[in-house]
Amino acid sequence: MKVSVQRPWLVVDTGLRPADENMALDKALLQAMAGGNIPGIFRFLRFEESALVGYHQSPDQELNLDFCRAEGIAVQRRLTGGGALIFDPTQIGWELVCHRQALPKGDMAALSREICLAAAAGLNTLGVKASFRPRNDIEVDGKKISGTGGIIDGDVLLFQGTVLVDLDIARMLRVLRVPVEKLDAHAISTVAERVTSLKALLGKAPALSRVQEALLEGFRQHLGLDFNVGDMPESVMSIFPEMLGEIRDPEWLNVNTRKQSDMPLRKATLRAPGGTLQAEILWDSFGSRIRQVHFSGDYFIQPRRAIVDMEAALRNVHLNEVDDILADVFAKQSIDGFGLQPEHFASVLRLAAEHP
Amino acid sequence: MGTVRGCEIPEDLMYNVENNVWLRKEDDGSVTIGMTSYACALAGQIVSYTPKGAGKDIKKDKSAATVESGKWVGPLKSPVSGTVVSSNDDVAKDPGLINKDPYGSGWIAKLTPADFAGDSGELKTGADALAAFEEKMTADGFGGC
Repeated sequence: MKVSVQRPWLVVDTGLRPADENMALDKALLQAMAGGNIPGIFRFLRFEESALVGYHQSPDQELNLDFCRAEGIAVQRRLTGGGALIFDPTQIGWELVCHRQALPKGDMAALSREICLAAAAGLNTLGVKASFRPRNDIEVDGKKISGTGGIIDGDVLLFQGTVLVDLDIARMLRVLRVPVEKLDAHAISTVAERVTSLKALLGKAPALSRVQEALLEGFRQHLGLDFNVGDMPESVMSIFPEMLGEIRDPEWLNVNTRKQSDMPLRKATLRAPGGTLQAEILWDSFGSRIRQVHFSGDYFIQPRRAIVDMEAALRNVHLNEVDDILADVFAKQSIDGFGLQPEHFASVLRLAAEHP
Repeated sequence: MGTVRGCEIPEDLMYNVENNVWLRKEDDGSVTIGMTSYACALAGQIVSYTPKGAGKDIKKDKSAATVESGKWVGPLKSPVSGTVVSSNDDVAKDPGLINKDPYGSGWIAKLTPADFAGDSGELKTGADALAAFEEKMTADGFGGC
């Protein structure tokens, strides 16, 4: 889907920075875009090692804060939605900041889809087969390689994503809370079945500049965007110090301070006609929401990616929604659980949630 | 109940159409604000709600709460200046209430307005609101609720 002819976007690479500076630049970009005559910005950003929670998340619920403190890993809150993630200098962040009319019309889900399709098209020029996975992920053969999220404030929006160029899964598991009881080799292989990196797919990590150019090419191809490379506009940098002060105020990180004990790890096992099904969940007891789920057990299911697709569809959903979501995934993918039905998956989730 | 492209737009409420928010003046002088059904349709299923706390002063067209849907975060901008009286505990527990009942149990905030007469002059209501939403939906390329 191409957008109508418009002035070229400005590509800015802000390099390797601490997390608080990157968040402050996001705030400054949004404010400058709302108030000034600047072109759409396509920013590349990298982070010193950081753990970032989504805008509405509680750091204590999502992260192992003791480990972060001991290892000197910065903890920050994004302006955008979605889940917690880790960033280290091997990864590339990309983001668009623009007025709403600079991108294709449609609702927010449609807009996410178009942006993710553009990013996936770019990654494909590197020789991988990336595709969009609802709601906001980019995947290769069922494995996530890029997560995304956005903020829209009036007429101005910022949408950002990651590209996993390399990934230390063991370290990721120590930083992020995941719905796996024991952090061992099995846990690492479980995550490796769900997340991948360009290095894992291509045999070696491509140069960062090569990945950047690939992403820009994807946005040229899919959305018809035109780019000029340059420096960050003065209207952004002039308010950057003020924004950095706001981000460094403890009030910013602590918008949501719900306790980890309000989001326990729970698990349940169900013996069903098609086998034994286990669900481990991070359970938001305040909102009755399944925040993350990991299915395991002794069963056969086709296609093989059905399990990870169900897990992706069940991220941060209310317990009352799981029946409809599972029925939808089963129907769309023509899943054959060899006796396992959507209601069995729903039942094991309820068992985990309601019977600690 | 007015309807525009399948979206319910109650004609007795007041609207800031640009920001897609509604306002109801209560008998005690307070105001209740919330997201329109059109805003809900654009956003999709809402999964998070973080309101400004009671006692906070909000300026006109500034955020009274933040919501999240499909990993998009967005502010709900108050149509008038005022002080937050209360936020919605039911929505905090189940943000999906905003989608289910945007003009009822899914309200976003209650405020004591600072200058209701001064701030409310540009808000639209009745047939004017319906026409303004039709125009906005055309500009947004919106098919319907």
